[in-house]
Amino acid sequence: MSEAPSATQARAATTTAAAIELRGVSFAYGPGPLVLDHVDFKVADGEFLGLIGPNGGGKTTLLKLVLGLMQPACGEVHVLGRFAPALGRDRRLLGYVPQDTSVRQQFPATVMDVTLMGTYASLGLLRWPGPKEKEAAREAIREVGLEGLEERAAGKLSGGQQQRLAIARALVAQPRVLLLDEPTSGLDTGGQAHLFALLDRLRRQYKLTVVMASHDVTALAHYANQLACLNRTVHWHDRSELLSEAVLRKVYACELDAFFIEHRRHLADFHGGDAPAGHAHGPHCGHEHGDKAGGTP
Amino acid sequence: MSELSFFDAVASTPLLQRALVAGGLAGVSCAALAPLVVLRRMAFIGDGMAHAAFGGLGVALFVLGGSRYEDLGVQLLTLAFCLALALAIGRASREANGGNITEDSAIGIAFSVSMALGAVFIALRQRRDPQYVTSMDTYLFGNLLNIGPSDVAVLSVLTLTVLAVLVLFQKEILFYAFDARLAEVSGLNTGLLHHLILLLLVLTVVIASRVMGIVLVSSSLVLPGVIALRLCTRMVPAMVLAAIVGLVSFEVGLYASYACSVQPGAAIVLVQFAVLLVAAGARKLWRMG
Repeated sequence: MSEAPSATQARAATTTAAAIELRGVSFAYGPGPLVLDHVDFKVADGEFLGLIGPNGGGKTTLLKLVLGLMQPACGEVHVLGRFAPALGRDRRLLGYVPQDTSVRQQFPATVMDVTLMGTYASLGLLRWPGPKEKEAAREAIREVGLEGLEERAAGKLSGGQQQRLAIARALVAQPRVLLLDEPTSGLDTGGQAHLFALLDRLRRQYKLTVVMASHDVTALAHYANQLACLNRTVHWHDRSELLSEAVLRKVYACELDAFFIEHRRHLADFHGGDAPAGHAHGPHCGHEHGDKAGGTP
Repeated sequence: MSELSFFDAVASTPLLQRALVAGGLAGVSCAALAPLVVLRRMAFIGDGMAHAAFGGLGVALFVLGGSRYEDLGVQLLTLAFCLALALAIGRASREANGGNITEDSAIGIAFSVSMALGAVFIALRQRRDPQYVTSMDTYLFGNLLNIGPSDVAVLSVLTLTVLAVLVLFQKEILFYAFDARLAEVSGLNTGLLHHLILLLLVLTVVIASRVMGIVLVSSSLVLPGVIALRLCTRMVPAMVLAAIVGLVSFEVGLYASYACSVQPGAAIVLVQFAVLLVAAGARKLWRMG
Protein backbone atom coordinates (compact mmCIF):
# COMPACT_ATOMS: atom_id res chain seq x y z
CA MET A 1 0.00 0.00 0.00
CA SER A 2 1.34 3.42 -0.85
CA GLU A 3 2.15 5.58 2.11
CA ALA A 4 1.52 9.26 2.54
CA PRO A 5 4.76 11.17 3.27
CA SER A 6 3.46 12.27 6.65
CA ALA A 7 2.95 8.68 7.74
CA THR A 8 6.43 7.70 6.54
CA GLN A 9 7.98 10.66 8.35
CA ALA A 10 6.04 9.82 11.47
CA ARG A 11 7.37 6.30 11.32
CA ALA A 12 10.95 7.43 10.83
CA ALA A 13 10.71 9.96 13.64
CA THR A 14 9.96 7.38 16.28
CA THR A 15 11.72 4.26 15.14
CA THR A 16 13.90 4.25 18.22
CA ALA A 17 11.03 4.70 20.66
CA ALA A 18 8.88 1.87 21.95
CA ALA A 19 5.58 1.64 20.13
CA ILE A 20 3.73 1.12 23.41
CA GLU A 21 4.92 1.59 26.96
CA LEU A 22 2.99 1.31 30.22
CA ARG A 23 4.77 2.46 33.36
CA GLY A 24 3.40 1.27 36.69
CA VAL A 25 -0.17 1.29 35.42
CA SER A 26 -2.98 0.28 37.74
CA PHE A 27 -6.66 0.39 36.89
CA ALA A 28 -9.95 -0.45 38.56
CA TYR A 29 -13.53 -0.04 37.35
CA GLY A 30 -15.06 2.34 39.89
CA PRO A 31 -14.58 1.23 43.47
CA GLY A 32 -14.03 -2.41 42.42
CA PRO A 33 -10.83 -4.43 42.74
CA LEU A 34 -7.79 -3.67 40.61
CA VAL A 35 -8.05 -5.12 37.12
CA LEU A 36 -4.47 -4.14 36.38
CA ASP A 37 -1.99 -3.90 39.22
CA HIS A 38 1.21 -1.94 38.63
CA VAL A 39 1.76 -3.17 35.10
CA ASP A 40 5.02 -2.36 33.32
CA PHE A 41 4.73 -3.13 29.67
CA LYS A 42 6.78 -2.28 26.62
CA VAL A 43 6.38 -3.28 23.00
CA ALA A 44 9.02 -2.36 20.43
CA ASP A 45 8.31 -1.14 16.92
CA GLY A 46 7.53 -3.96 14.54
CA GLU A 47 6.88 -6.58 17.23
CA PHE A 48 3.97 -9.01 17.19
CA LEU A 49 2.89 -9.34 20.78
CA GLY A 50 0.40 -12.00 21.76
CA LEU A 51 -1.59 -11.13 24.84
CA ILE A 52 -3.08 -14.12 26.61
CA GLY A 53 -4.78 -14.61 29.92
CA PRO A 54 -8.06 -15.68 31.47
CA ASN A 55 -11.33 -13.82 31.01
CA GLY A 56 -11.32 -10.80 33.30
CA GLY A 57 -7.52 -10.84 33.38
CA GLY A 58 -7.30 -7.30 32.00
CA LYS A 59 -6.52 -7.85 28.30
CA THR A 60 -9.33 -5.67 26.95
CA THR A 61 -8.74 -3.10 29.69
CA LEU A 62 -5.09 -2.85 28.68
CA LEU A 63 -6.04 -2.32 25.04
CA LYS A 64 -8.55 0.39 26.02
CA LEU A 65 -5.88 2.18 28.05
CA VAL A 66 -3.52 2.11 25.07
CA LEU A 67 -6.29 3.44 22.85
CA GLY A 68 -6.84 6.29 25.30
CA LEU A 69 -10.47 5.32 25.93
CA MET A 70 -9.82 5.16 29.67
CA GLN A 71 -7.30 6.70 32.03
CA PRO A 72 -5.27 4.62 34.50
CA ALA A 73 -5.77 5.14 38.23
CA CYS A 74 -2.01 5.54 38.46
CA GLY A 75 0.95 5.18 36.15
CA GLU A 76 1.44 6.38 32.59
CA VAL A 77 0.63 5.07 29.15
CA HIS A 78 2.91 6.13 26.30
CA VAL A 79 2.15 5.39 22.68
CA LEU A 80 4.63 6.04 19.86
CA GLY A 81 6.82 7.93 22.28
CA ARG A 82 4.02 10.25 23.41
CA PHE A 83 1.76 10.47 26.42
CA ALA A 84 -1.36 8.58 25.25
CA PRO A 85 -3.99 11.20 26.22
CA ALA A 86 -2.03 13.79 24.21
CA LEU A 87 -2.15 11.81 20.97
CA GLY A 88 -5.14 13.75 19.66
CA ARG A 89 -5.65 13.21 15.95
CA ASP A 90 -2.54 11.02 15.81
CA ARG A 91 -4.67 8.41 17.48
CA ARG A 92 -5.41 7.37 13.90
CA LEU A 93 -1.91 5.82 13.92
CA LEU A 94 -3.44 3.18 16.19
CA GLY A 95 -5.56 0.74 14.22
CA TYR A 96 -8.11 -1.16 16.26
CA VAL A 97 -10.01 -4.32 15.43
CA PRO A 98 -12.64 -5.06 18.08
CA GLN A 99 -13.83 -8.45 19.23
CA ASP A 100 -17.18 -8.05 17.53
CA THR A 101 -16.73 -7.06 13.91
CA SER A 102 -20.16 -8.14 12.74
CA VAL A 103 -22.08 -5.64 10.62
CA ARG A 104 -25.86 -5.53 10.94
CA GLN A 105 -27.40 -7.08 7.86
CA GLN A 106 -29.39 -3.97 6.92
CA PHE A 107 -26.68 -1.43 7.68
CA PRO A 108 -26.61 0.87 4.63
CA ALA A 109 -22.93 0.72 3.71
CA THR A 110 -20.86 -1.15 1.15
CA VAL A 111 -17.45 -2.76 1.70
CA MET A 112 -15.92 0.38 0.15
CA ASP A 113 -17.91 2.68 2.48
CA VAL A 114 -16.79 0.78 5.59
CA THR A 115 -13.15 0.72 4.48
CA LEU A 116 -13.21 4.45 3.77
CA MET A 117 -14.33 5.08 7.36
CA GLY A 118 -10.68 4.50 8.26
CA THR A 119 -9.76 7.72 6.43
CA TYR A 120 -12.37 9.97 8.07
CA ALA A 121 -10.31 11.10 11.07
CA SER A 122 -7.35 12.16 8.91
CA LEU A 123 -9.63 13.95 6.45
CA GLY A 124 -11.15 16.14 9.13
CA LEU A 125 -14.46 17.99 9.03
CA LEU A 126 -16.14 19.01 5.77
CA ARG A 127 -13.75 17.00 3.58
CA TRP A 128 -14.84 13.88 1.78
CA PRO A 129 -12.81 10.94 0.49
CA GLY A 130 -11.31 11.72 -2.91
CA PRO A 131 -9.52 9.59 -5.51
CA LYS A 132 -6.44 9.19 -3.29
CA GLU A 133 -8.46 7.83 -0.37
CA LYS A 134 -10.52 5.61 -2.66
CA GLU A 135 -7.37 4.14 -4.21
CA ALA A 136 -5.93 3.50 -0.73
CA ALA A 137 -9.20 1.81 0.26
CA ARG A 138 -9.14 -0.37 -2.87
CA GLU A 139 -5.59 -1.39 -2.03
CA ALA A 140 -6.50 -2.22 1.57
CA ILE A 141 -9.46 -4.27 0.33
CA ARG A 142 -7.11 -6.10 -2.05
CA GLU A 143 -4.60 -6.72 0.75
CA VAL A 144 -7.17 -8.53 2.86
CA GLY A 145 -8.48 -10.54 -0.08
CA LEU A 146 -11.86 -8.87 -0.57
CA GLU A 147 -11.22 -7.52 -4.07
CA GLY A 148 -14.27 -7.69 -6.28
CA LEU A 149 -16.60 -7.17 -3.30
CA GLU A 150 -16.17 -3.38 -3.05
CA GLU A 151 -19.82 -2.64 -3.83
CA ARG A 152 -21.25 -5.55 -1.82
CA ALA A 153 -23.35 -4.57 1.23
CA ALA A 154 -21.06 -5.01 4.25
CA GLY A 155 -23.82 -6.74 6.23
CA LYS A 156 -24.03 -9.49 3.64
CA LEU A 157 -20.42 -10.66 4.05
CA SER A 158 -19.58 -13.83 5.96
CA GLY A 159 -18.12 -13.63 9.47
CA GLY A 160 -14.57 -14.19 8.23
CA GLN A 161 -14.98 -11.61 5.47
CA GLN A 162 -16.32 -9.06 7.97
CA GLN A 163 -13.28 -9.74 10.13
CA ARG A 164 -11.02 -9.00 7.15
CA LEU A 165 -13.07 -5.92 6.35
CA ALA A 166 -12.39 -4.63 9.87
CA ILE A 167 -8.67 -5.10 9.23
CA ALA A 168 -8.95 -3.28 5.88
CA ARG A 169 -10.68 -0.37 7.62
CA ALA A 170 -7.89 -0.22 10.20
CA LEU A 171 -5.20 -0.61 7.53
CA VAL A 172 -6.39 2.19 5.26
CA ALA A 173 -5.56 4.75 7.96
CA GLN A 174 -1.91 3.67 7.60
CA PRO A 175 -1.52 2.82 11.28
CA ARG A 176 1.78 2.13 12.96
CA VAL A 177 0.22 -0.05 15.61
CA LEU A 178 -2.55 -2.58 15.13
CA LEU A 179 -4.47 -3.63 18.24
CA LEU A 180 -6.76 -6.62 17.96
CA ASP A 181 -9.11 -7.76 20.71
CA GLU A 182 -9.78 -11.48 20.39
CA PRO A 183 -10.33 -11.26 16.64
CA THR A 184 -10.48 -15.03 16.18
CA SER A 185 -13.54 -15.56 18.34
CA GLY A 186 -16.42 -16.62 16.15
CA LEU A 187 -14.16 -17.83 13.33
CA ASP A 188 -13.74 -21.48 12.36
CA THR A 189 -10.28 -23.08 12.35
CA GLY A 190 -9.68 -22.24 8.70
CA GLY A 191 -10.73 -18.63 9.24
CA GLN A 192 -8.44 -18.32 12.25
CA ALA A 193 -5.44 -19.69 10.34
CA HIS A 194 -6.14 -17.32 7.45
CA LEU A 195 -6.39 -14.35 9.83
CA PHE A 196 -3.10 -15.14 11.60
CA ALA A 197 -1.29 -15.62 8.28
CA LEU A 198 -2.74 -12.34 6.98
CA LEU A 199 -1.65 -10.40 10.07
CA ASP A 200 1.82 -11.89 9.95
CA ARG A 201 2.19 -10.88 6.30
CA LEU A 202 0.86 -7.36 6.87
CA ARG A 203 3.14 -6.87 9.85
CA ARG A 204 6.22 -7.75 7.83
CA GLN A 205 5.08 -5.80 4.77
CA TYR A 206 4.19 -2.55 6.56
CA LYS A 207 6.47 -2.92 9.60
CA LEU A 208 3.42 -2.78 11.81
CA THR A 209 3.50 -3.31 15.52
CA VAL A 210 0.78 -5.83 16.29
CA VAL A 211 -0.75 -6.48 19.69
CA MET A 212 -3.34 -9.23 19.71
CA ALA A 213 -5.37 -10.38 22.68
CA SER A 214 -6.49 -13.93 22.13
CA HIS A 215 -7.23 -17.23 23.82
CA ASP A 216 -5.61 -19.08 20.93
CA VAL A 217 -2.29 -19.67 22.69
CA THR A 218 -1.07 -22.21 20.16
CA ALA A 219 -1.47 -19.91 17.17
CA LEU A 220 0.00 -16.97 19.05
CA ALA A 221 2.99 -19.08 20.06
CA HIS A 222 3.49 -19.71 16.36
CA TYR A 223 3.13 -16.19 15.00
CA ALA A 224 3.95 -13.77 17.84
CA ASN A 225 7.50 -12.63 18.65
CA GLN A 226 6.56 -12.31 22.26
CA LEU A 227 3.82 -13.55 24.51
CA ALA A 228 2.56 -11.75 27.56
CA CYS A 229 0.32 -13.50 30.04
CA LEU A 230 -1.97 -11.06 31.73
CA ASN A 231 -3.88 -11.74 34.89
CA ARG A 232 -3.90 -8.50 36.83
CA THR A 233 -0.12 -8.35 36.46
CA VAL A 234 1.93 -9.12 33.36
CA HIS A 235 4.19 -12.12 32.87
CA TRP A 236 6.60 -11.80 29.94
CA HIS A 237 8.06 -14.43 27.67
CA ASP A 238 10.00 -14.50 24.48
CA ARG A 239 8.57 -16.95 22.05
CA SER A 240 11.89 -18.75 22.17
CA GLU A 241 11.38 -19.39 25.87
CA LEU A 242 7.82 -20.50 25.28
CA LEU A 243 5.35 -20.98 28.01
CA SER A 244 5.80 -23.47 30.73
CA GLU A 245 2.93 -25.43 32.16
CA ALA A 246 3.65 -23.91 35.55
CA VAL A 247 3.30 -20.36 34.23
CA LEU A 248 0.07 -21.06 32.43
CA ARG A 249 -1.34 -22.90 35.43
CA LYS A 250 -0.47 -19.91 37.56
CA VAL A 251 -1.99 -17.40 35.12
CA TYR A 252 -5.11 -19.33 34.22
CA ALA A 253 -5.44 -20.99 37.67
CA CYS A 254 -6.57 -24.28 36.15
CA GLU A 255 -5.25 -27.55 34.77
CA LEU A 256 -4.00 -27.25 31.23
CA ASP A 257 -2.99 -30.79 30.37
CA ALA A 258 -5.23 -30.92 27.31
CA PHE A 259 -3.77 -27.67 26.08
CA PHE A 260 -0.23 -28.91 26.53
CA ILE A 261 -0.76 -32.05 24.53
CA GLU A 262 -1.88 -29.94 21.58
CA HIS A 263 0.68 -27.22 22.27
CA ARG A 264 3.63 -29.65 22.33
CA ARG A 265 2.44 -31.31 19.15
CA HIS A 266 2.25 -27.93 17.49
CA LEU A 267 5.66 -26.88 18.76
CA ALA A 268 7.15 -30.13 17.56
CA ASP A 269 5.88 -29.34 14.08
CA PHE A 270 7.02 -25.75 14.34
CA HIS A 271 10.57 -26.54 15.59
CA GLY A 272 11.10 -29.73 13.62
CA GLY A 273 10.50 -32.08 16.57
CA ASP A 274 12.49 -30.08 19.10
CA ALA A 275 9.65 -29.24 21.42
CA PRO A 276 10.59 -28.28 24.94
CA ALA A 277 9.16 -30.06 27.93
CA GLY A 278 6.50 -28.28 29.87
CA HIS A 279 8.74 -27.64 32.90
CA ALA A 280 11.97 -27.16 31.01
CA HIS A 281 11.93 -23.39 31.31
CA GLY A 282 11.47 -21.57 34.55
CA PRO A 283 8.59 -19.13 34.58
CA HIS A 284 9.47 -15.46 34.16
CA CYS A 285 6.48 -14.20 35.97
CA GLY A 286 5.13 -12.76 39.17
CA HIS A 287 7.71 -10.35 40.57
CA GLU A 288 9.90 -10.73 37.56
CA HIS A 289 7.45 -8.96 35.33
CA GLY A 290 9.03 -6.21 33.37
CA ASP A 291 12.36 -8.00 32.96
CA LYS A 292 11.77 -8.34 29.26
CA ALA A 293 10.04 -5.03 29.13
CA GLY A 294 13.25 -3.19 29.44
CA GLY A 295 15.42 -5.55 27.43
CA THR A 296 13.90 -7.24 24.49
CA PRO A 297 11.91 -4.46 22.85
CA MET B 1 -65.84 14.28 0.62
CA SER B 2 -64.58 14.50 -2.94
CA GLU B 3 -60.94 15.03 -3.96
CA LEU B 4 -61.93 18.28 -5.67
CA SER B 5 -63.42 19.72 -2.51
CA PHE B 6 -60.16 19.06 -0.61
CA PHE B 7 -58.10 20.90 -3.20
CA ASP B 8 -60.70 23.64 -3.38
CA ALA B 9 -60.49 23.98 0.37
CA VAL B 10 -56.68 24.17 0.21
CA ALA B 11 -56.82 26.78 -2.55
CA SER B 12 -59.25 28.96 -0.68
CA THR B 13 -58.01 28.53 2.93
CA PRO B 14 -54.63 29.99 3.98
CA LEU B 15 -54.87 27.95 7.19
CA LEU B 16 -54.89 24.70 5.23
CA GLN B 17 -52.10 25.93 2.97
CA ARG B 18 -50.00 26.65 6.05
CA ALA B 19 -50.89 23.24 7.47
CA LEU B 20 -49.70 21.52 4.29
CA VAL B 21 -46.42 23.43 4.24
CA ALA B 22 -45.78 23.15 7.98
CA GLY B 23 -46.70 19.48 7.99
CA GLY B 24 -44.46 18.74 5.03
CA LEU B 25 -41.55 20.49 6.73
CA ALA B 26 -42.16 18.65 10.00
CA GLY B 27 -42.43 15.37 8.11
CA VAL B 28 -39.16 15.95 6.24
CA SER B 29 -37.17 16.98 9.33
CA CYS B 30 -38.39 14.00 11.39
CA ALA B 31 -38.00 11.51 8.56
CA ALA B 32 -34.51 12.64 7.48
CA LEU B 33 -33.31 11.81 11.01
CA ALA B 34 -35.20 8.52 11.08
CA PRO B 35 -32.54 6.21 9.52
CA LEU B 36 -30.02 7.45 12.07
CA VAL B 37 -32.53 7.02 14.92
CA VAL B 38 -33.22 3.45 13.78
CA LEU B 39 -29.57 2.50 13.25
CA ARG B 40 -28.42 3.98 16.56
CA ARG B 41 -31.44 2.42 18.28
CA MET B 42 -32.47 5.84 19.55
CA ALA B 43 -36.19 5.29 18.97
CA PHE B 44 -36.85 5.19 22.69
CA ILE B 45 -34.88 8.42 23.15
CA GLY B 46 -37.11 10.07 20.53
CA ASP B 47 -40.16 8.75 22.30
CA GLY B 48 -38.84 9.96 25.64
CA MET B 49 -38.15 13.41 24.18
CA ALA B 50 -41.66 13.61 22.77
CA HIS B 51 -43.12 12.92 26.18
CA ALA B 52 -40.61 15.21 27.87
CA ALA B 53 -42.02 17.96 25.68
CA PHE B 54 -45.35 17.52 27.44
CA GLY B 55 -43.67 18.02 30.83
CA GLY B 56 -41.84 21.08 29.54
CA LEU B 57 -45.05 22.48 28.14
CA GLY B 58 -46.87 22.05 31.47
CA VAL B 59 -44.05 23.74 33.39
CA ALA B 60 -43.89 26.58 30.83
CA LEU B 61 -47.67 27.20 30.91
CA PHE B 62 -47.59 27.28 34.70
CA VAL B 63 -44.49 29.45 35.08
CA LEU B 64 -45.40 31.95 32.35
CA GLY B 65 -48.73 33.18 33.71
CA GLY B 66 -51.21 34.27 31.04
CA SER B 67 -49.29 32.54 28.27
CA ARG B 68 -50.82 30.28 25.66
CA TYR B 69 -49.66 27.06 23.99
CA GLU B 70 -48.62 28.80 20.78
CA ASP B 71 -46.59 31.60 22.46
CA LEU B 72 -42.89 31.76 21.63
CA GLY B 73 -41.96 31.95 25.34
CA VAL B 74 -43.77 28.68 26.01
CA GLN B 75 -42.00 27.01 23.09
CA LEU B 76 -38.60 28.24 24.23
CA LEU B 77 -39.10 27.10 27.83
CA THR B 78 -40.33 23.72 26.58
CA LEU B 79 -37.22 23.49 24.44
CA ALA B 80 -34.96 24.34 27.39
CA PHE B 81 -36.68 21.71 29.55
CA CYS B 82 -36.21 19.07 26.86
CA LEU B 83 -32.59 20.04 26.24
CA ALA B 84 -31.79 19.66 29.94
CA LEU B 85 -33.45 16.27 29.94
CA ALA B 86 -31.68 15.26 26.70
CA LEU B 87 -28.32 16.13 28.24
CA ALA B 88 -29.15 14.01 31.28
CA ILE B 89 -30.25 11.12 29.07
CA GLY B 90 -27.20 11.60 26.84
CA ARG B 91 -24.97 11.39 29.86
CA ALA B 92 -26.76 8.28 31.07
CA SER B 93 -26.49 6.67 27.63
CA ARG B 94 -22.77 7.42 27.29
CA GLU B 95 -22.09 6.10 30.77
CA ALA B 96 -24.49 3.21 30.38
CA ASN B 97 -21.77 0.64 30.93
CA GLY B 98 -20.37 2.18 34.07
CA GLY B 99 -23.37 3.85 35.64
CA ASN B 100 -25.88 2.57 38.15
CA ILE B 101 -28.82 2.87 35.80
CA THR B 102 -29.27 1.58 32.27
CA GLU B 103 -30.08 3.90 29.38
CA ASP B 104 -33.57 2.56 28.76
CA SER B 105 -34.40 2.80 32.46
CA ALA B 106 -33.20 6.42 32.55
CA ILE B 107 -35.35 7.27 29.52
CA GLY B 108 -38.33 5.38 30.95
CA ILE B 109 -38.10 7.36 34.19
CA ALA B 110 -37.71 10.69 32.37
CA PHE B 111 -40.61 9.79 30.09
CA SER B 112 -43.14 9.00 32.83
CA VAL B 113 -42.04 11.72 35.25
CA SER B 114 -42.30 14.32 32.46
CA MET B 115 -45.80 13.19 31.55
CA ALA B 116 -46.83 13.37 35.20
CA LEU B 117 -45.27 16.82 35.59
CA GLY B 118 -47.05 18.00 32.45
CA ALA B 119 -50.45 16.75 33.66
CA VAL B 120 -50.00 18.28 37.14
CA PHE B 121 -48.79 21.69 35.97
CA ILE B 122 -51.45 22.02 33.26
CA ALA B 123 -54.13 21.17 35.85
CA LEU B 124 -52.65 23.77 38.25
CA ARG B 125 -52.61 26.33 35.45
CA GLN B 126 -56.25 25.63 34.62
CA ARG B 127 -57.21 25.93 38.31
CA ARG B 128 -55.46 29.31 38.52
CA ASP B 129 -56.67 30.48 35.14
CA PRO B 130 -60.09 28.81 34.50
CA GLN B 131 -60.70 30.56 31.18
CA TYR B 132 -57.56 28.92 29.85
CA VAL B 133 -58.88 25.59 28.71
CA THR B 134 -57.03 23.76 25.95
CA SER B 135 -57.94 20.18 25.23
CA MET B 136 -55.26 17.64 26.10
CA ASP B 137 -55.81 16.28 22.58
CA THR B 138 -54.20 19.45 21.23
CA TYR B 139 -50.96 18.65 23.06
CA LEU B 140 -51.05 14.94 22.48
CA PHE B 141 -52.19 14.78 18.85
CA GLY B 142 -51.42 18.26 17.51
CA ASN B 143 -53.72 20.79 15.96
CA LEU B 144 -53.12 22.01 12.46
CA LEU B 145 -55.60 24.82 12.95
CA ASN B 146 -53.14 26.40 15.40
CA ILE B 147 -50.41 26.81 12.78
CA GLY B 148 -49.46 30.44 12.19
CA PRO B 149 -46.99 32.05 9.76
CA SER B 150 -44.34 32.18 12.50
CA ASP B 151 -44.67 28.41 12.98
CA VAL B 152 -44.01 27.89 9.27
CA ALA B 153 -40.93 30.11 9.52
CA VAL B 154 -39.62 28.20 12.56
CA LEU B 155 -40.26 24.85 10.87
CA SER B 156 -38.42 26.05 7.74
CA VAL B 157 -35.36 26.98 9.81
CA LEU B 158 -35.55 23.65 11.63
CA THR B 159 -35.76 21.64 8.40
CA LEU B 160 -32.86 23.52 6.84
CA THR B 161 -30.81 23.02 10.02
CA VAL B 162 -31.49 19.27 10.13
CA LEU B 163 -30.68 18.82 6.44
CA ALA B 164 -27.53 20.98 6.68
CA VAL B 165 -26.18 18.99 9.65
CA LEU B 166 -26.93 15.68 7.93
CA VAL B 167 -25.16 16.81 4.74
CA LEU B 168 -22.16 18.49 6.39
CA PHE B 169 -21.49 15.69 8.88
CA GLN B 170 -22.58 12.79 6.68
CA LYS B 171 -19.34 10.84 6.93
CA GLU B 172 -19.04 11.32 10.70
CA ILE B 173 -22.70 10.37 11.16
CA LEU B 174 -22.23 7.26 9.02
CA PHE B 175 -19.24 6.12 11.12
CA TYR B 176 -21.07 7.01 14.36
CA ALA B 177 -24.10 4.99 13.26
CA PHE B 178 -21.83 2.11 12.23
CA ASP B 179 -19.97 1.85 15.53
CA ALA B 180 -19.68 4.77 17.93
CA ARG B 181 -16.81 3.20 19.88
CA LEU B 182 -14.78 2.55 16.73
CA ALA B 183 -15.43 6.08 15.54
CA GLU B 184 -14.11 7.40 18.85
CA VAL B 185 -11.04 5.17 18.71
CA SER B 186 -10.26 6.36 15.19
CA GLY B 187 -10.13 9.96 16.41
CA LEU B 188 -13.61 11.34 15.72
CA ASN B 189 -15.17 13.53 18.41
CA THR B 190 -18.11 11.25 19.09
CA GLY B 191 -19.07 13.06 22.29
CA LEU B 192 -19.73 16.22 20.30
CA LEU B 193 -21.52 14.23 17.59
CA HIS B 194 -23.69 12.43 20.15
CA HIS B 195 -24.82 15.71 21.70
CA LEU B 196 -25.33 17.34 18.30
CA ILE B 197 -27.66 14.52 17.28
CA LEU B 198 -29.50 14.72 20.61
CA LEU B 199 -29.90 18.48 20.11
CA LEU B 200 -31.33 17.92 16.63
CA LEU B 201 -33.71 15.31 17.99
CA VAL B 202 -34.94 17.63 20.73
CA LEU B 203 -35.41 20.56 18.37
CA THR B 204 -37.25 18.38 15.88
CA VAL B 205 -39.51 16.77 18.47
CA VAL B 206 -40.42 20.02 20.22
CA ILE B 207 -41.10 21.97 17.04
CA ALA B 208 -42.73 19.20 15.01
CA SER B 209 -44.98 18.22 17.91
CA ARG B 210 -46.83 21.52 17.41
CA VAL B 211 -48.05 20.00 14.15
CA MET B 212 -48.18 16.28 14.79
CA GLY B 213 -48.70 16.15 18.52
CA ILE B 214 -46.23 14.75 21.02
CA VAL B 215 -47.53 11.19 20.97
CA LEU B 216 -47.29 10.69 17.23
CA VAL B 217 -44.13 12.67 16.44
CA SER B 218 -42.01 9.82 17.74
CA SER B 219 -43.42 7.45 15.12
CA SER B 220 -42.26 9.83 12.39
CA LEU B 221 -38.77 9.43 13.80
CA VAL B 222 -38.93 5.68 13.26
CA LEU B 223 -41.28 4.50 10.49
CA PRO B 224 -39.71 6.38 7.53
CA GLY B 225 -36.30 5.14 8.66
CA VAL B 226 -37.42 1.51 8.81
CA ILE B 227 -38.99 1.86 5.35
CA ALA B 228 -35.89 3.47 3.81
CA LEU B 229 -33.47 0.98 5.36
CA ARG B 230 -35.50 -1.86 3.89
CA LEU B 231 -35.05 -0.46 0.41
CA CYS B 232 -31.63 1.27 0.38
CA THR B 233 -28.13 -0.14 0.74
CA ARG B 234 -26.38 3.18 1.34
CA MET B 235 -26.86 5.88 3.94
CA VAL B 236 -27.43 9.01 1.84
CA PRO B 237 -30.09 7.44 -0.42
CA ALA B 238 -31.73 6.04 2.73
CA MET B 239 -31.97 9.52 4.25
CA VAL B 240 -33.30 11.03 1.02
CA LEU B 241 -35.91 8.27 0.64
CA ALA B 242 -36.94 8.61 4.30
CA ALA B 243 -37.42 12.36 3.83
CA ILE B 244 -39.57 11.73 0.73
CA VAL B 245 -41.64 9.17 2.66
CA GLY B 246 -42.03 11.70 5.48
CA LEU B 247 -43.19 14.42 3.09
CA VAL B 248 -45.56 12.30 1.01
CA SER B 249 -47.07 10.45 3.97
CA PHE B 250 -47.80 13.74 5.68
CA GLU B 251 -49.59 15.20 2.70
CA VAL B 252 -51.51 11.99 2.00
CA GLY B 253 -52.29 11.66 5.72
CA LEU B 254 -53.56 15.21 5.84
CA TYR B 255 -55.83 14.54 2.89
CA ALA B 256 -57.11 11.36 4.58
CA SER B 257 -57.63 13.27 7.82
CA TYR B 258 -59.62 15.96 5.99
CA ALA B 259 -61.61 13.41 4.03
CA CYS B 260 -62.45 11.19 7.02
CA SER B 261 -62.57 13.89 9.71
CA VAL B 262 -60.00 12.18 11.94
CA GLN B 263 -56.91 13.46 13.79
CA PRO B 264 -54.14 14.30 11.26
CA GLY B 265 -51.43 12.68 13.41
CA ALA B 266 -53.28 9.37 13.50
CA ALA B 267 -53.93 9.46 9.74
CA ILE B 268 -50.25 10.24 9.01
CA VAL B 269 -48.98 7.36 11.14
CA LEU B 270 -51.40 4.93 9.51
CA VAL B 271 -50.30 6.09 6.04
CA GLN B 272 -46.64 5.54 7.04
CA PHE B 273 -47.49 2.09 8.34
CA ALA B 274 -49.24 1.28 5.06
CA VAL B 275 -46.11 2.39 3.16
CA LEU B 276 -44.04 0.09 5.40
CA LEU B 277 -46.28 -2.86 4.53
CA VAL B 278 -46.03 -2.04 0.82
CA ALA B 279 -42.22 -1.69 1.07
CA ALA B 280 -41.93 -5.02 2.89
CA GLY B 281 -44.11 -6.68 0.27
CA ALA B 282 -42.17 -5.10 -2.60
CA ARG B 283 -38.88 -6.29 -1.10
CA LYS B 284 -40.20 -9.82 -0.77
CA LEU B 285 -41.41 -9.78 -4.39
CA TRP B 286 -38.04 -8.39 -5.53
CA ARG B 287 -36.22 -11.23 -3.75
CA MET B 288 -38.56 -13.84 -5.17
CA GLY B 289 -38.15 -12.37 -8.66
